[in-house]
Amino acid sequence: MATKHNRPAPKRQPQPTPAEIITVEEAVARLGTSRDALLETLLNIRDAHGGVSEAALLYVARLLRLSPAEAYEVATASPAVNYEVTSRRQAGDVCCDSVVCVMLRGTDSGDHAFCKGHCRIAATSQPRSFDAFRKAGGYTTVEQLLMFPASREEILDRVANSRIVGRAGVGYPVYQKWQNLMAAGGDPVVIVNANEGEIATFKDRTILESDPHAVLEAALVAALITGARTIFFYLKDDYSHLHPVLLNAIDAVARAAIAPDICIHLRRSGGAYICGEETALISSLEGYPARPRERPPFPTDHGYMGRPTLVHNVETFYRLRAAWGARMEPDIAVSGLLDPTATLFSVSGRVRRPGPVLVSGMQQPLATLLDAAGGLEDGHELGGMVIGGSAGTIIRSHQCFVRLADLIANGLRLGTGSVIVFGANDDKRWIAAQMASFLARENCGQCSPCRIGSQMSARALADGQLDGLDDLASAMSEASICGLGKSAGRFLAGVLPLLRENH
Amino acid sequence: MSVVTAVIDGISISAKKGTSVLRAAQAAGLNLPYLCACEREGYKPIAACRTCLVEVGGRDELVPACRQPVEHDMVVYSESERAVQTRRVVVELLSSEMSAEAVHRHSESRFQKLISRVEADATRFGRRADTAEPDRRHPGIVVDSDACIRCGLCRSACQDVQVNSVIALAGHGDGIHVTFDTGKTMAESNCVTCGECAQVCPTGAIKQAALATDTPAKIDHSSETVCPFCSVGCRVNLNIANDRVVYAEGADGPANHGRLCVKGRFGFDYLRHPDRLTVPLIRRDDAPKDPSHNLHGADILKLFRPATWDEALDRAATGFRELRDSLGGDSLAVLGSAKGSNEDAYILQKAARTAFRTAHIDHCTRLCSSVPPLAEATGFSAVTIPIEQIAFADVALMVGSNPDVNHPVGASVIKNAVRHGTKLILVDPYQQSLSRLATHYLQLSPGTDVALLSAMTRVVTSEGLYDADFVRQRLEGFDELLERIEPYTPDVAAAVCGVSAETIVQAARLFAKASAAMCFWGMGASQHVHGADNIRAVIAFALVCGQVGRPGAGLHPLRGQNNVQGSCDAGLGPSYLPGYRPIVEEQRALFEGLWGTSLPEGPGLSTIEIMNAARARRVKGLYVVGGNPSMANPDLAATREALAKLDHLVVQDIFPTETAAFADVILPAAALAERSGTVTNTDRIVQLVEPVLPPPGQAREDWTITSSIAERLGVSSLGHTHESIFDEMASVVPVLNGLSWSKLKAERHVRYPIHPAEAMTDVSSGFDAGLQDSLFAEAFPCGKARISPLHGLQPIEPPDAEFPLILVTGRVREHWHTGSMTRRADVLDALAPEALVHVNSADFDRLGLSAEQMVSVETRRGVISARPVADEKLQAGVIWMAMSFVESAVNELTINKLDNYTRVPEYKFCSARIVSA
Ligand SMILES: Cc1cc2nc3c(=O)[nH]c(=O)nc-3n(C[C@H](O)[C@H](O)[C@H](O)COP(=O)(O)O)c2cc1C
Ligand code: SF4
Ligand code: SF4
Ligand code: SF4
Ligand code: FES
Repeated sequence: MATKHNRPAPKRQPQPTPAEIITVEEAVARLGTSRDALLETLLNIRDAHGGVSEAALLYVARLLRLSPAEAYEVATASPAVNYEVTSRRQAGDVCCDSVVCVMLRGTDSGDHAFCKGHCRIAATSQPRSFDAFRKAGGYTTVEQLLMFPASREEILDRVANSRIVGRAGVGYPVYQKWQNLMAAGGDPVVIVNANEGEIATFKDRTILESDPHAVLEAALVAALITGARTIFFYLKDDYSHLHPVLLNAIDAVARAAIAPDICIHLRRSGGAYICGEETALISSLEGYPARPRERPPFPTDHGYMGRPTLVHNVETFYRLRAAWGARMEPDIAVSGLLDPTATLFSVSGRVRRPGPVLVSGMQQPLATLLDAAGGLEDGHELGGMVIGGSAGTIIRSHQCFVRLADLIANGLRLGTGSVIVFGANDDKRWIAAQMASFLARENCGQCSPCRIGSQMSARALADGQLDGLDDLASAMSEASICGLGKSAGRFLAGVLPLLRENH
Repeated sequence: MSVVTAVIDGISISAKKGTSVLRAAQAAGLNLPYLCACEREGYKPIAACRTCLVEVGGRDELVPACRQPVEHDMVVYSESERAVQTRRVVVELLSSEMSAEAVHRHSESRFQKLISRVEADATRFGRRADTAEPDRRHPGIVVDSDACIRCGLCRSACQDVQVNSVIALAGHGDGIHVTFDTGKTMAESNCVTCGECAQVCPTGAIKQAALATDTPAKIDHSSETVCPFCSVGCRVNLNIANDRVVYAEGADGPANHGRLCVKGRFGFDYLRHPDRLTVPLIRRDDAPKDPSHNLHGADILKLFRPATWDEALDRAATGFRELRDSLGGDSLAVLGSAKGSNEDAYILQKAARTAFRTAHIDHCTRLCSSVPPLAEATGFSAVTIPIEQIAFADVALMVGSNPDVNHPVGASVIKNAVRHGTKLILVDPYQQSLSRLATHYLQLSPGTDVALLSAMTRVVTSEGLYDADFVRQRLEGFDELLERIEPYTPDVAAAVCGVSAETIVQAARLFAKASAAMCFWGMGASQHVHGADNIRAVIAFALVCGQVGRPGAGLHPLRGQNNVQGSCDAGLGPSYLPGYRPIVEEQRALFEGLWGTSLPEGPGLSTIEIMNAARARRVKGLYVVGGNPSMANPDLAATREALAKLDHLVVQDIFPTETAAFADVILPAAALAERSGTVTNTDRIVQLVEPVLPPPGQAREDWTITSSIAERLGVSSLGHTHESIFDEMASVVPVLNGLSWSKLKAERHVRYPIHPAEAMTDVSSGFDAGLQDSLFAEAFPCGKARISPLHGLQPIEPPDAEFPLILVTGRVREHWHTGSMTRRADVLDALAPEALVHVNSADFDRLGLSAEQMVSVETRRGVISARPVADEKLQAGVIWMAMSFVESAVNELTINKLDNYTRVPEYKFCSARIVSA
């Protein structure tokens, strides 16, 4: 009974280099060997070696007791990991290919001066130090809460009265979210969402570059009020210049024992837009690919490791401080955000000086942003603006001169406050196609209406085939799991009439 | 269990709380579209394809029916225009993910049917370009990426259900794709070929190779049987075309819930293999038996000539009758097999005792048996708790067992439990795949189990963590135990076992403090000269901690072959009558009355002892039914010598086995899938099977052949029908109390004992009326459990200068036992075509080995040639080989030394060396 088969003997696994082993062992010594250490460990390897090799991935998988496939899913779902790409990646090397970059540099210029999250803008200021923040009265509310736990009720009332809403785009009332979280009981977790993945948006970055401790203070207050002892600070991986800033800030808080029972963990994102969606963010913290989870249950009930989880945007935390009496400070520009009527716009595109612009009230037209940004680029006339990022709204030039309050009354959503200025020669359909293709590239890929629908809509917009897309748009917004696919559908539905008019 | 009522499309339904809308709708007869869902156990809703969206009253958004549980007073509109429209577009989008060629290749798939069901325009969004031909490099499964719609069901099959975690859904955005390990092909990956993914894939992108041909066979009929390959007892549905099995699918059996492993999925080619015995054969006069012959397969047939059944049966019986009548029944012996049915086993032992008039009756369970020490301790010869109860266990201790390879579907249940929180303590020298999931993995040196478990026991007794009430009320021998384990401090054990003292202490505490803990053990524990001691040490540890008789607390020796439990229950052994009745006057009288004849005296010889007696010419006639000692026994040269010395050997089997080469008469038998009968799995579940195919040629069911021989030996009417045999067996086997063929026929499967309180009462007292699943909440069948003293043996043949390595034997996932069936299944043989000698990676390099170069593996008993592979999961100084390959039969090398109590040979330890060719 001799066999007729021949099977090659199993190959031996590739072995990591000694340098890779050292990096991994160091990371694991700090982060531990449970699954939630996976992404940060891979990013540590990336930092040291430019990318993650198969051998290093298998080595990490073995230490964390994951199967190769489980580790591979995370490595490949996270562009930041540079899996099997070993040329060292540098901040600024990578262009985000977002509509702004491509509009300004053309599709194949090879010019990498414009890049994701930086949008030609250099760091604006030196971050305020721990000592300076303390001198200005920082962290006193934290101390007060620790010393007089009874003051919790009072601060909670003030948060309720401030009527502050989330600044990530949707505008969900903060107090309501806290109520939901506290009703769930258990061992809650607070997450600072600093993924800032929306195209041409740099408001959170501006805040963190200027006043990181203010955000930490607010997160600590939220933790003390809701009973959380764990805080995750989830930072956009491309904001590598902020990584040491935040490490220092967190370290200073720990050394000064501001809130000794609360642990703040700094984690970096997987480098995709979808990583900022709160349930995807939570999956990624747990060591799974950043893929959204269906709601309900909402994170406030069942979030990180099944624990009730409070996720807020950086700006939301920053503004919260108004509720416990933080004041605007003349030398800290972003403190203007403590004025509840203020909006921090991220202005980019065909302007001379792209950058953050703080505007008070809604009485001005959007065109005033142009002045703050140094005016239009030479040789361009205003064509219009894209408001609110990748799934935002394209407005025409004349609308830029209408009072913002009126535009909003007519249904305009500011989203994250990003404003991309384009010129009269820039093709709106081309811009719309660029926006759609960003969504097609940056979604997580798990659900079919979004994954395929966003591809189809990007292709149709690029080809100018605008007929018969209405039911596609509606299926995308009806059937997608998370906000990305839903808003991609709404974007398509909204942009079709605009483009058809043009034809 | 609460029930909720709701309305779906105007139909009022009530459903168990937690039921999905999809399942409830299906139950109500509605044909709701769906794709990425599977309602089988272990599947969690993925809810990514979005083809099952429905409208629910009071909800703004459409909800996926596969994920949404039915809630009280919920009103579901599955056919609302909004839902219908959305689903249609979603299906149209999905359809664009398949290439035109791929659609053509899989026109019958569930997905293509869904397209028509929702009246979608399949090409509205175009088609993906053809990129690649299907990947056919894996022997059993074809991967056709151009057909994949990325629904994620295969990933769930692999990660959530079978917990092999080989399939990845990698990448993001439009780049998301199905792949294996770190982007490998299926063939190169760690895929274990359970085929779960192929069974559930809705498009055909992952498909069994037999179905992925241009002209797949048209299935004539399909029906269920039980997998013959291990004691898990999976139910399997065989799809037949032109009298052959085309492919197998997992059926909804009590142990497998639709799952299979590689053997159950791809192992059925043997049924119609050309080597099948189809006519009775008689040895040719010019073909003498020569112990130096080592023949295989068709070569064996050259020694025989065909005969009629009458001639062959006469010849078979005459040889036995002459020996019996001249030398007495004591000169005869009978070897059965644990792969027959309960009816076969019962009739065979009855024939041996009444017609052959011999007490020397045994079967292959002897080669692995892990239960006798449990019977010694508790008076019960089966698991106290089934595998699935691990879901209720906080901790599971597993000693010397590699279920991921040997009981794969059982392992999937274990792995699921571990993923849901059960903590696993794994004790095994081989760093098997389960070690990844273990809370504590204790990689002890081979043969040091007793020291390790004694130390763990000492930790819990000295720290006062043991269950003092249990010990006082239900245990005997505790003081002697304390004395025995006294020297085994964690430090002493650490030095002996090579496991850190701290790990020993932590593992012991974890187990003792668990509110419910289960113990598993397997052949790694039993196949030693001190195998019984190993198991006694495990049992003592568990009992001292009081871990029996509650949900999730109990003892589970993982049984080996598919009907080990039933064959033992039937009395197919030398030291017990049916039902484990001791061979004492009173019990003998019972059977003498029932069978109308006197029974032979005393306990007889066991499997290996029979062979030793044959070599010594004390046993002269042997009837082998389904066994293959010439591959399975230790020290094959000596075994062949014994077989050649026999005056009369009759072999009854489905293939010409290596043992048959020494036969006088070979009788062709029917395989399990070709017959009716009952089999009993490791979980004490008796399952009824009916034929899926007819036996080939003139092959007959084993028990009818045995009856015919018995008749020629003067004992007629051993049994008439399956029903009467089973019912007779049930009447004398106490644990089967209350079971009958007709009950099984109606229910298909039943777990015994049905009446725990009565099951053992006519043998001994004290069986409690506790849970049927986790037995012995109040008392053991023997009253108090006994902690037996140990015999304290060490491995017989430690490594030395001449033979410096330790040889351990075992099995590979693809092959079963001696390989006679699985080596004849094409996919299995392709997956594992040759014997590999696994060598610790450092030793491999030190010895300068290469996988390209065959080596000789040598012991004091023999030499075989095999291909070496480096294996970092082995300890230094240890080599490992599987037993299933005739070309390099490792039992040429193993040592013929037995455990005194269980009579199991020491397969897992002898000294060896490797010599480069
Ligand atoms: C596709 C997608 C991407 C998102 N990215 C971010 C992000 O980068 N930063 C952020 O704060 N919120 C992001 N969100 C919103 C979060 O899911 C979450 O709603 C937010 O962090 C809550 O903050 P808030 O309560 O302060 O508004 C994203 C949402 C979606 C759907
Ligand atoms: S909508 Fe898009 S991003 Fe969100 S879960 Fe679905 S595929 Fe992922
Ligand atoms: S291979 Fe099949 S089951 Fe797996 S994602 Fe593709 S279509 Fe779904
Ligand atoms: S686990 Fe055992 S019974 Fe189940 S399919 Fe595999 S070999 Fe057959
Ligand atoms: S079957 Fe419900 S989303 Fe796929």
